Formats: sequence, C-alpha cells, structure tokens
Amino acid sequence: MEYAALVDVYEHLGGTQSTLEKRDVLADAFAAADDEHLPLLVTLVRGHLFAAWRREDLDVSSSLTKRAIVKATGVEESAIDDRWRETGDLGDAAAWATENEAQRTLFSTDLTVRDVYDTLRELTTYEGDGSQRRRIDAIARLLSDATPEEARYVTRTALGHLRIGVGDGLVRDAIAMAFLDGSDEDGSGGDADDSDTTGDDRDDGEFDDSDGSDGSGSGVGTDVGTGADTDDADDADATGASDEAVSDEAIGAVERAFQVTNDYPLVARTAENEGLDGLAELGISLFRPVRVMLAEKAEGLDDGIESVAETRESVLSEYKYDGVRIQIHKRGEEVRIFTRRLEDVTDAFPDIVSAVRENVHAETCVLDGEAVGYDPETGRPVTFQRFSQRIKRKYDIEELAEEIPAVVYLFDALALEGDSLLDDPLRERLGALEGLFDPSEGTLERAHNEWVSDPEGTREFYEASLEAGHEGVMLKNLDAPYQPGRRVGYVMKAKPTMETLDLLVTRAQYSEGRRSDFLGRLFLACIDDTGSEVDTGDAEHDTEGGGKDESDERFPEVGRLATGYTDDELRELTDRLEGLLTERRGQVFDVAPEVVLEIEYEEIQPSTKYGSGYALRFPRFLGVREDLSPTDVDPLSRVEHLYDEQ
Amino acid sequence: MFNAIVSADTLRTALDSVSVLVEECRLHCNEEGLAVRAVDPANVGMVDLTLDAAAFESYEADGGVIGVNLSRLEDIAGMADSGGLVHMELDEETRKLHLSLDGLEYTLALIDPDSIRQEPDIPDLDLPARVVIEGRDIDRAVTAADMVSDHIALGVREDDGLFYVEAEGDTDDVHLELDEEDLIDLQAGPARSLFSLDYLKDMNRAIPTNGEVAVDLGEEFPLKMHFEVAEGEGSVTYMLAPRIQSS
Repeated sequence: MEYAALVDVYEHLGGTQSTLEKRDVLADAFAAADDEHLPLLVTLVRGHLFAAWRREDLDVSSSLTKRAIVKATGVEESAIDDRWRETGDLGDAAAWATENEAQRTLFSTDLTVRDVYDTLRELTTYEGDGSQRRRIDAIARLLSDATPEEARYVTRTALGHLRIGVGDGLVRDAIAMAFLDGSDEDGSGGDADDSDTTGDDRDDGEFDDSDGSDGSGSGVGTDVGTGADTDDADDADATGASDEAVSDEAIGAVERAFQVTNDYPLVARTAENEGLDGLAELGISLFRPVRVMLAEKAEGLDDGIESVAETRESVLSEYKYDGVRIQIHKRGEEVRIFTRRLEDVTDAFPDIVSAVRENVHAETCVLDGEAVGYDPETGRPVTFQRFSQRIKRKYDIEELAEEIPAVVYLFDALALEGDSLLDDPLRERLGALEGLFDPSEGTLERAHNEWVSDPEGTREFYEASLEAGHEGVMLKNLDAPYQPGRRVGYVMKAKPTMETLDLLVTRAQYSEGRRSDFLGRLFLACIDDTGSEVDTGDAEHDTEGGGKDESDERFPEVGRLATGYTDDELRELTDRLEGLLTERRGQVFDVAPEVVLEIEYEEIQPSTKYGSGYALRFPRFLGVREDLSPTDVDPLSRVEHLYDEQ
Repeated sequence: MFNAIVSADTLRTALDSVSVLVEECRLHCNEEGLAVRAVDPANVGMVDLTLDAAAFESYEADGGVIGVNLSRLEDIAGMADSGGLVHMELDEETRKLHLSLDGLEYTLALIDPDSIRQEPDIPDLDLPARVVIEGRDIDRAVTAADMVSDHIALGVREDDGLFYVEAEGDTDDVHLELDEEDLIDLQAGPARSLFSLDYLKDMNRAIPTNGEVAVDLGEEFPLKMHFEVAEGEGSVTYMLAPRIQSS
C-alpha cells in the first residue's frame, strides 16, 4: 500500500470535525485494507507504531526530527524554525520544507506504508554510540522520498502526535463498523451534529482512561464530560449521535476486547476474521497486561457508599494506598509486573517478584494491587514521590529496594489457573484472591478492608486509613464484575480534597483590558525529574502563546494561569516579575526562573501544547511560595501521578 | 567464502571513501575484487567503490555479500601499524568476520545484509563537461569555500576555457578559476551547478591530494567525481545531487 493513500486518509480525517465522518473514513480504510496492512493501519491512524501494551519509546525528539528535515531538504534550520513557530507544528514545517527543498536528490522512490512503519519501528532498536545519528538518518531517508503531505505525517508519526483528532474511541467504532455491521453500508448519511473541536489536543492520550463513552450499552457508563468545554474524552463518541450504522453490541464487543488485550491490531484482525464470537473469546492472557478497572471520585464518604451499590450490604471498604498500581502476572516461577500504563517494571521490583514467588501458591494467576514504599525504620509509608524512584532506577536496584522496601497490597484477582475471573462478581474474585496466597507482612498483604456496616464504622475506618498515612478509602461493589479500563462506578474513591501544585513562572504576558498593565498571564512549569532524556525537545510549540523556542528543558510547562489573583496581588507580582523579564518573543516574555506559585486547578489533562505533556484545567492562583526556590517546585512525576489518580 | 590479506592503509582508504556517506554497507566479495555501492540516507550522495583482487596481497572470494558496520571496521584497521597487513576471513557458520593484524585477533559481528539499504542503480547521466584536476586543487577550493558559505558553485566557462568555483557568503566571497594550464584536462561544455559543502567536504576527505580527479558537470545536474585509489587497483566514483539555485 502506498503511503500516499494513507496520507489521503489522514488529510480527510484531519479535515473534518465530524466524528461520524471520521468514523466512516476510518471504517472504509480498515475495510479496504488487506490482511497485511490492517494491523498497521489501526495503530498508524492513532499515530502509534505498536499495540498499546508493548508500546516502546521511539526516542525521537523534535530537535532530532528537525535535523532530519534539514538533512533531507537542505533547507536551513532557521527557516524551519520560523515556519515551526508560525504554525506550531513541526509536521507542517516539514511539509513546507519539502515543498521548498533546497537540495535535489539522485533518486526518489515512492514511500509505502510498510516502509514507513518498519523504518520508524526500527528506531527503537538503535542503541548506544551513533544511535542518534542513525535515528536522524532513518527519518531523513523517509523524508527525502516524501511528498510535502507525506513529510507532514511522517514527521508527526515520528513525534507521536498526528493531530487528526482520532482517539481510541473512534478506532473502536470504526472497527465495529467495518467488520461487524455489514448490514448497513451507508454509514455516511449520519447526521453529523457533533462538535469535537478538541481533537488536536486529544490524539495523544494513549492511556486516556476517561474515554467518555458508554458505547458498550451496559447501561452503567458515565459520561465524564458532556459539557461544551474541553471535555475529557479523547475523541467525541460517534455512538452518542443516535446513528444506526453501528450497533451498541458491536461497539461493546470491540471495546471489551480492546480493554482486555490492549491490542487493536489483534482486535481488528479478530473482528474481521471471526466476528463477534471471536472477539468474545479474546480473553485475558498471561504476560499481556489488561487495563485496570478505575475508580470514580466520590463527593464524600456517604455519597460514595450510596452510589457504588444499591445496598450497604454490597459495599466493601478498603484502604486507599498512595503508591503504584501494579498488575502481577505469574506462571510458576515466572513473574512479571506491569503498571497501569502497561509498562513492564519487573526489573525494578526484584523484591516484589520474590515475594510473589514465595507467597503466591497459585501456579498461574493475574493479580491487581498497589505497591507502596515504606520507611524501614518507622514502617510508615513514604510519599509517592520518593517511591517513584524505585520505578526509574536502572542501577543499584537492590540497594534502593533495601532503602525503600515495597509492600504490595493485593485487592483483586483477574485470572486464576487458566480461568478468567473478569466476569465473576468481586465477592468471588476476592474469595479466589484470599485462597491463592499467604499474606506476608511487609511484603505481600491483602489490602486492609472492612464490610461497610454502619456509617459510623465506615467513618472510623476512613479516619484510621488517613491516620496510618494512607490516602483515604476505596468503596467497592461486591456484586460487580471487573471492567478493565473503565471508570464505571463499581469502585468509588473517597479522599480529602484536591492537592495543589507549587509551580514555577517561566514566561509571562501582559493581560488585556482592565488589567493590561499587569503581567497577568503566566506560564507555569514543573521540574523535570524524569531523568534519562538527553534531548527533551519534544515540547510541541505553543501556538496560542505566540510561539516559543526551546523553553528551559529543566522546567517543562504545564499550563497558563490567568485568574485567581486580586488586583493588589497581581500588582505586587507584576512588580516582581518585571525585574526578571529576559527575552521577548512576540507578546511573551521569558522570565528568569525564580518565582514559585501555589496553584489549584480543576483537573489535569493530557496535552500536546505544553512540554510536560499535561495541561492544568482552570488553574487558579493561591499565593506566592516565598519559601520555595525553583528546584523545590513539584516534579513532573507528581503531575503524572496526580493525573493518573484523578 | 571470503579470505583476503590487504595492507591496512589500502583498507582504510577504501573504507573511508564509503563511510563519509553511510554507517553500514553491503560488501560484495566478488571473484574479481571487493565492490561497494551505497547512497546516503537523504539520497543526495552516492559512492561506487571497487577494489580489485590485485590490490590485495592475497584474495579469495566467491561472490558473497556481507553487511558491515564501517566505523567499527575502520577502527579495527586503525589498530594496524602503518604498512601492516590485515587478514580477513569470513566464518560462514557464525557469519562473523575474523580479522587478524599484528597478532591481534578480532571477531567482528556482521550485519544482516537484508537490513541494509539496497544498492541503487547508478543514474544514467549525460554530463557535457569534464574537468580533470589535481586532488589538492579540489581540497583548496572546498576549504576556501567552506570559510564563507554552506554551498559552492562549480562551473565551466566554455569561451574562456576555464573551470571555476564560487562561494558566496553573507559578507565574504570566494572565487577560484583554473584554466587549461592549471588543469590536467578540460572538455568544455555548458555547466554550472550548486552543491552542498557538507557533502563535498566529506567526499573531499577521501580524495587523495596527490592524485587526479575527473569531475563531470552539467547545468543544474548532479556531479560525478572519479578517482583511483590503491595505486590504481581501486576506483571510486562519487555522485552528488545539486542544490536548487535560489533565484
């Protein structure tokens, strides 16, 4: 298949706001693909190259890609920078550079989908000396064969952001439409009344767990964001618009298969070849992580108890631990540990691996739990921040494991001795869980739990959890099945109010209107503690902010503040900031890293706009943290964690 | 089968001519000698190298292809004393290349040739002008041009019977004219093209300063440079696509 044909699909997808139309375009493309290309297409349309559960980092930054563009086109870097700043998209800059190339080539071959896919996947295999140059060369080769439109999408795919407003939900609906509802070929007639205007920002939410859909028809779905504002979903849900082209049953089947396998290539192939029955048979499989079931946030303890189940008798209350959610897969001596982002972190937790080998007597099983670090001297849990070192550490792992030992609190069993337990009620899964391991204090324990009997008792349980240094409680419906990847209300969490973030002011802009004398628009940044990355240039350029060059890589931005201050506070802040302004780019001034603010916000969303990959929704100013220096601001890992915890 | 002994200097010179364009290449071990053809990732520069069996102290091969990491192989060849010999032998079983030099044994893992880009066909070019020039004059021109610009124009003025080089920088310019006196040979024809100095600099490194180079040129056409290595037992041809002249 020619890459140009896929680019036509991309352009069509990017050119319409209508999710129904997008879905139809995708479904047509999937239906037309042969066996070789279907698995490629379902990942490529999301800007990915691997199935979700084996996603690997291409390690391609924008600055590396830019060098490849220079190499392939002979256009000067500064000209590409200008175009990048103008459009906010390096893909557009690549298209422009290809259109205006300064260098001829000796040969040119037409790009194929297979070539682009294989070449980019191969980037993950480059290691060590010269791997940077090989990455540049590989991308440059694709670009040198590319037409301007092809160059746009090769670039965006390399960077992992396609900007065509296609999320997992659309891929799901399109697979259902292409292979499971042959009856209605005329899907394009749907009344496209949706208004997904946020698609551009959404297509990077690879682990977006808040796909605001209830397409499975199970009746328990809870749309998170039906408001007109930037909602949480990665793409608007085509099924929302009573369109008859795809049945809820078909969509539900694809959805379930995906949540269990995290593998759209597999799901698409199965849907095509084996239909609904085949999808239903796709089950949990050892060493291939399943998406974890997520909790909804309760307004309070009582609200949680009331909404999680019909009767109190069906509610179990458990401590909510502040650690890392892990999924443990075991077959005999072989143990693998995955995070809820489906990353394999087995190597980081040799202590957990041996605890599982020692105490879990089931031959094969899949377990769900929370790993928490504690202080070996006091026995109190350490902060998530400190514990997260365990995940990042590549060397001296044993040493760190002694310094911050981990205890795993198990709270669910997803499979046992070859049988899936996903459809069993929690009551039975817990029975299985309790029978398959011997609790061992300080290494492998059952999550502390209690039947909810009377409100008073639950309150005491909640307070005891906080007292012990944990986050609150989880409230669980004992009659509910395990719903991978979904926030379905079978589990609620109750904890004290939202935490604030301490963030650094990196750039500032004067307000408009009444406050135009004040620097009222402030860019906020956390500190990058994610380590390893030498080249963190993959911050997408911020078009709204008038464009920017490389912001300080140590301080990736998480959003822009505009409200929360009184006039007096703002005046004082402006006086302070004006002394720190350095360079000016358009309307925006760089600010020397000095001022730290305490910020509250509604929620954290994934975003391609800011270097951190996240954006705070509705950030509000609470105060200046005079006691903190720039290196004391909250780290990126905490932002990620808070996002996961939402 | 591949079993050959060659002077380290010859091996290095030959490999250098290829490694300026690519990291990895497919080495054709033909009966009559080694051959490599490779194009750089951006499809701008190409090299075609042959090293005759006669360039080797001893040479046996039967037409196999092996994939090598050039910088690794060059590093190994660099371990030999000047004038030393390198013995290369392919282990068919393990698909590794055994190298021995001055008592040093090195086993080099090879790369699957299929994973390396296929050789391109040599574009069929009919270039109207040919300049035969000393390697050191190319070196002078490239070095001077590099001081002022990123690219360099090469051309022939038919009426005056001369070959010229121009580089225009933001502030400074470089001009060099060589007439038939200065050149070894000139077949005049309409020719002027602009080239990237990045590439020419790299190619220039592989050109022996004391040898002669035949440069074929056209109007906004690729150039072709041909020169000999290993005392005439090896030959290198470069092709380089032009830059687009901004109006």
